[in-house]
Amino acid sequence: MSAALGTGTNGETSSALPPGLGRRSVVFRVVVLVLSLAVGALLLVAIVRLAWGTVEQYGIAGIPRYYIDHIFGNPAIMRTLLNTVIVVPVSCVIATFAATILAWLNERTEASLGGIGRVLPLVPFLMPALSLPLGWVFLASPQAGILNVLIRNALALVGVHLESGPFDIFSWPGLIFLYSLVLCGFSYMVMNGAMRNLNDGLEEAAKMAGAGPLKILFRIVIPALRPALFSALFMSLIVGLVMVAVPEAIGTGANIQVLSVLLVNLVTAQSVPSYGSAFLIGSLLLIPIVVLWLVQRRIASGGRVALIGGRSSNSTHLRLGGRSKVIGRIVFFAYVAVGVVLPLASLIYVAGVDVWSSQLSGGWSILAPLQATLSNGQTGTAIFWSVVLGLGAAVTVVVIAHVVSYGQRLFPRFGGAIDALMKSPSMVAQILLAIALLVTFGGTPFYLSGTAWILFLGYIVVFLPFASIMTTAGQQVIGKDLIEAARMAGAGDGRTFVRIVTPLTSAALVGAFLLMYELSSGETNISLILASPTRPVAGYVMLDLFNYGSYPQVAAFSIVVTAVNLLVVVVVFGVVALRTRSR
Amino acid sequence: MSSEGRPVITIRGLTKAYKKGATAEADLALKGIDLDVMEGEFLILLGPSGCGKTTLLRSIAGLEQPTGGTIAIDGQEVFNGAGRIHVDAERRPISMIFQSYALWPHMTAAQNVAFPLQCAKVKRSEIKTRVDEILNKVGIGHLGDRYPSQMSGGQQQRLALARALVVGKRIVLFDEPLSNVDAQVREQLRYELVSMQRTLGFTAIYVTHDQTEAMELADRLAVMSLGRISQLDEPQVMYDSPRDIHVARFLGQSNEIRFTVDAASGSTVTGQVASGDVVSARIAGESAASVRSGQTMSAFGRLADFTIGAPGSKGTGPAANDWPGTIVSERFLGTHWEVLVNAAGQQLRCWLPPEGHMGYSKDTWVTVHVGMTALKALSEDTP
Repeated sequence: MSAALGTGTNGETSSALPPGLGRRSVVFRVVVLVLSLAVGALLLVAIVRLAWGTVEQYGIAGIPRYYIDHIFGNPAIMRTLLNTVIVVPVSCVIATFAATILAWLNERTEASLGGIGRVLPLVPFLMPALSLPLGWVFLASPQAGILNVLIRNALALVGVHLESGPFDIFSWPGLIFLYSLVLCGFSYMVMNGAMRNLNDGLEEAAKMAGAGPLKILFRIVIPALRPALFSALFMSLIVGLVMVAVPEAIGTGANIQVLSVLLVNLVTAQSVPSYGSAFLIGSLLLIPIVVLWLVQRRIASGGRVALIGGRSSNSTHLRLGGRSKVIGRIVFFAYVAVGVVLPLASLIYVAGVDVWSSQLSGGWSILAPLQATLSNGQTGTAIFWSVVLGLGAAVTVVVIAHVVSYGQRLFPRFGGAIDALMKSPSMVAQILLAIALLVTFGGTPFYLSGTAWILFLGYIVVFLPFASIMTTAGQQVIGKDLIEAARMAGAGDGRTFVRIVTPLTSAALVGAFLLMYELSSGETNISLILASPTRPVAGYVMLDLFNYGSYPQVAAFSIVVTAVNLLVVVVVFGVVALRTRSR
Repeated sequence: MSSEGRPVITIRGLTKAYKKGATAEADLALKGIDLDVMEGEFLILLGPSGCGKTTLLRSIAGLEQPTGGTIAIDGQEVFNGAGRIHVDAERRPISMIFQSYALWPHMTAAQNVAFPLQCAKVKRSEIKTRVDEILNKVGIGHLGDRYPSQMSGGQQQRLALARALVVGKRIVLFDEPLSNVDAQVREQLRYELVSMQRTLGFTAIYVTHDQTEAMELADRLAVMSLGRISQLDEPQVMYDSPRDIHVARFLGQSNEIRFTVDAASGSTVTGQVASGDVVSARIAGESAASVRSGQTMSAFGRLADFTIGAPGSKGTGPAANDWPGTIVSERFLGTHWEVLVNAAGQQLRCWLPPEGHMGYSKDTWVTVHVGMTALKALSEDTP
């Protein structure tokens, strides 16, 4: 390997000029390589350890028998698998379709809200993962749901009396609705960027051929963006398969169990955690993920899609005609209302009442419950650690992703492998990763169980693929000649990375940092496995309050966490804006 | 600046294959380039797209790793395919100006220029002086605080030049740097570039596909075709005496008349085009002895060397280089008329001075004439 680290780009050593001139480049390349290998080793060691433990428990021959007897022969697990196979793909398709329409409206049409439109669909990420489903539980529970109560009261005025409903969030449609709502944000991240970079010429040519807006969308734009569309589907599938917050909040009430909740229960709800069972059942998740990954790769390499131009296309927004512009904006605002405003309003309402019931309360005070949340030792500690771990993990994961993304340029031959390495955690269910980390680092010789470090490790591993997607995309838009100009100016790899690549990707880095912070500070998948009463985090405490506390308590807690997250985001934005202005 | 002196860059047998393991000649982007670049000269690499000129330039820069051969700068090898030596771009004593200028958009003009000095570990106190000095020298001393996006194309070009020159590297590579500015600015910048090169004395290697630009800038011109240097000469020599059919095709505006050789003697060759008309031309690039009867050759003649006369004015019969034909069209191009004539079995373009223009109508019968010495005959396989 040492030869590859020399100044030669293809393994040749350099000897013609005085030694030492390229030392910094070598050091930098070593750092990149070590970082890549460390991440790979962390993943590999953890997964191999878990797999080995499973083999020890069941034996090689016992594993097929376990699948036959305990999984495929178990009606309850088969029902769980079937539920997952129905809920997740259907929700992914709906979410990606909705995200495509929203991104199209904002980036390509005159209904665009510009920068606001880019940010609004991502606002739900500010709330802890459980907040959105919880908000909708408060809105659409058949008996006490605020929307239901308001509608029933209104209907009563015209003589129609309903005992419950009309909405029931604890149902198949309710579950799919909430899955879709959460996944839409993830799909939107992918589709928005793709829509923004789409070459104007494609639409203009279609317009000249006489196509209307909808025909342009379905016949030109969507086919041209097939790779992005499958990336969005892939991303939402990865998130959807392992999501715990929505099925935990809704599925239990609706009596619909899905695989992610089953995996968490196997590890947390039993006196002796069934790591082996969780590994064997969780491994089934690899099948849909690998299949879709292969489909995505095939489509990306098929070449039957339009090339995406690098120019910004803000200048030419598609005219929708008639009232379509208004309708387009209504669609956008409706999504924001459903995804942010209504659930947040319901949380604020429930946080201020003594008891949440089918009778709308006259007395409402928000201050006392918020004070109680902040002064409570457990919740205060959880928020503190969520912020600390969120900031720490976001910084670390973005730095690793940024450095390793650059490694793809430094080691062009291994670029694909490095990229695959960064994305590999997404191939394994997050919950399995958490279990693997717990099994590997929880006990001897590391003893990280119950510490902040194991959560930190978990967040890094789980969010690395997401950060990597964003930093790689950020670096891809830097022209090759800007990097080459730095080399011709005498800059080594390290200096080029720090002085040229990093400033030019600063917007992508800040965006990635904020998203990683938001995702990790309210995380409710791996936190359930890695957090503990001694080292609680927001997602862990929130689920605890949801299951064992009062609704106003959990609502108040959710609002405090959202407010803290908003504050952090505003401070980061402020610092970045100040620094940008001072330049 | 003459091409005499000592070579500062020596290239021998340079090959480059983009396909891994490719050895077939057709797969090579560079096919055994031999080239000496003299100290202080302005060398132009000229050729059509895909001829390998940019690959050669980038190989010299160190941005591209050739497959075989050697490159030495000041006698010191920076690439040796057999010896597995490849010195990285940042360690070669070379600057480069890119087609896009590659100015870093997040840095001001002064910061862009200061960057190479910082890389070279020049003292901070000295950096400001040198930055101001070079910016003044290229005429944008008052724009040091501006970002590249706040500068015009011409100013950006000057900034790119300042950045390339500030460290004082003696070799500067130019990758079609004037293709992004308008014609007027381009002419002005060409003049400034030559004058700056003369003043500062750096060695320049300049890639372009623009023949006017090449003629104007070059001390020596290397016309490239299909991964080879077809001809390396001073511009005037190259223009007057192309030794290679690719050079003749690429340089200047000319009619190409393919004919079958009947006889060759001395430096003259005579033959017939497909229509039976007789062509007589001077042999270029090879000796008459190597020309065989029955061989196909191409005769190249400058458009201004063709004249048009009335039918029979010089002879409608079998006289060499007197070809009867019909007028296809004509148009006025400012300094001359361009007349298209169907003659000698093909469409010929003739440039006539305004005073020699007779006002031809379509399908009029005329005779096209070109002097024997104005036609240069080359064969496809001319070395």
